[in-house]
Amino acid sequence: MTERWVGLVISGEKVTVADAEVPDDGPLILQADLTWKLQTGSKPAAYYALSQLCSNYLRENGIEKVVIKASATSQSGVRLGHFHSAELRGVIQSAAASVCEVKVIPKAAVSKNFGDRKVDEYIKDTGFWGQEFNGKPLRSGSREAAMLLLAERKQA
Amino acid sequence: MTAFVSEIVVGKKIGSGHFGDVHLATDPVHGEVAVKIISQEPTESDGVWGHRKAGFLAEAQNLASAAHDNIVPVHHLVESVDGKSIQYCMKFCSGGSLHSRYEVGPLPLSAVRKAGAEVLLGLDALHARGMIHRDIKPGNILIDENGVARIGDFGLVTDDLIFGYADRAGYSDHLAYEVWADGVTSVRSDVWAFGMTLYRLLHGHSWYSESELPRLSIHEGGFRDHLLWLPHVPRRWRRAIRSMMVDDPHKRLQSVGQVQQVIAGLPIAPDWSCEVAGSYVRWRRENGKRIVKVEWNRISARRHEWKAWSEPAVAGAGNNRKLGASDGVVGARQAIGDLERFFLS
Repeated sequence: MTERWVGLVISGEKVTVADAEVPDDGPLILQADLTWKLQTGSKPAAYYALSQLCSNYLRENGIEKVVIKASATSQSGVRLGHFHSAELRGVIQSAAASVCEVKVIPKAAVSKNFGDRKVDEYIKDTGFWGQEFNGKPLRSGSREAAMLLLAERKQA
Repeated sequence: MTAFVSEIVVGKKIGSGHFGDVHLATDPVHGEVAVKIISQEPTESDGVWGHRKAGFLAEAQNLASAAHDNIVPVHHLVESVDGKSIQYCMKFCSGGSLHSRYEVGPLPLSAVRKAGAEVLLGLDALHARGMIHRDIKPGNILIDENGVARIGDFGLVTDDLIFGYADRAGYSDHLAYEVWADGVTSVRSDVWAFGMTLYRLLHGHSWYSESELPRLSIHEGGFRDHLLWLPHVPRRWRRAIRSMMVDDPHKRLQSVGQVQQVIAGLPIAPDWSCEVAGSYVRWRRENGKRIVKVEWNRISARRHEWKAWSEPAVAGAGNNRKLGASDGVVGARQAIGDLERFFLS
């Protein structure tokens, strides 16, 4: 049965959104490829605004599942920006969970769940995306968010 | 619609919409409510009224089931026994409409962005449900008891109603170029109207009234290039609003989602409060223990002068400091350019 899922990758002060119809098999049909940006100014107000935007979008578009890329350690050291991203990731998880089922999966699990290659290899392979997605065009910068949907379908 | 007799007690008039007056009322279930009474026009045939009434009913049914934090909820509808009027019972928003605030003067950037972001949530919900509002403007944005903006007044349910009521309602200032051209509204014409709403809120009624009425020139095209901006409005705001008001709907921001992205990136500091009073435009903002003030005197169309200074927030706690000024009386272009540079600094 086809369901509508959203993959989210949070990085810095933005959220990359890949919204697709996910059939049991065959290509996913991309409905929207968006970026949500954190408002300038006060952080608490900006988090609140973005959480409202997130839950509003998921509710109004009948999203049944959200897959979010998990926080990870950084080999180059943890800087303040990583903490800010983690804060935003928590805000988004909370907002999404108020509407639908939420899965948080680490990047390593995406590779493990989906196929033989590493995530970054799939992301670079333009031909792969043409086979796996129909519908609206997918920006190359949104492939990681879209990859979450493919991995989750295989796992489910 | 119900066959039951309404127990709503209608009180004083609190506003006027396109199709009828809005009254404060008491409802046995919801307490204080707003009731819009929509009646058959004296010149309206039974057929046209019946069509319009059916439209209101369909829309109200959608809205009643489409609860959203940024949409004024419709509690119920009641039809009069003779069928010639409808009582449209809605949540009473104690903060009134943004039109009242707009009439007072320009709103600060932070207030416009907050209200704008909230309106976009409601508008996004409407569009996701396949509805077009067709009448986004300050008067249709109501502020509830928590200070949250909600979209109200869903009277314009079909395109064929727009021009029939445009002149009387005065909202034709918010009709996009293509609506004047072919009369067809869309998600993108709502985006245009939202851009105009932001412009009006940023500038207030006095400033807005100094320009030619938009309803007289939008149809000529290029309207966004003729907008007159208060000098403190940052360029990113101007670009954002212009991108919502492109004549060609296909080159305009295409969706609420795109507008939301743009709005999120708009600066809200420094957050000036501004007053337009006759020939004078005055700004002020707090800066620590001091208050920064700017005064622009438009003596005539070609003769302007301005000055900026700071003064202690507490009288006698320091001296005034000059921050800038025109070199005596200067031309309009120079004064505006200098002011824009001052606000940018």
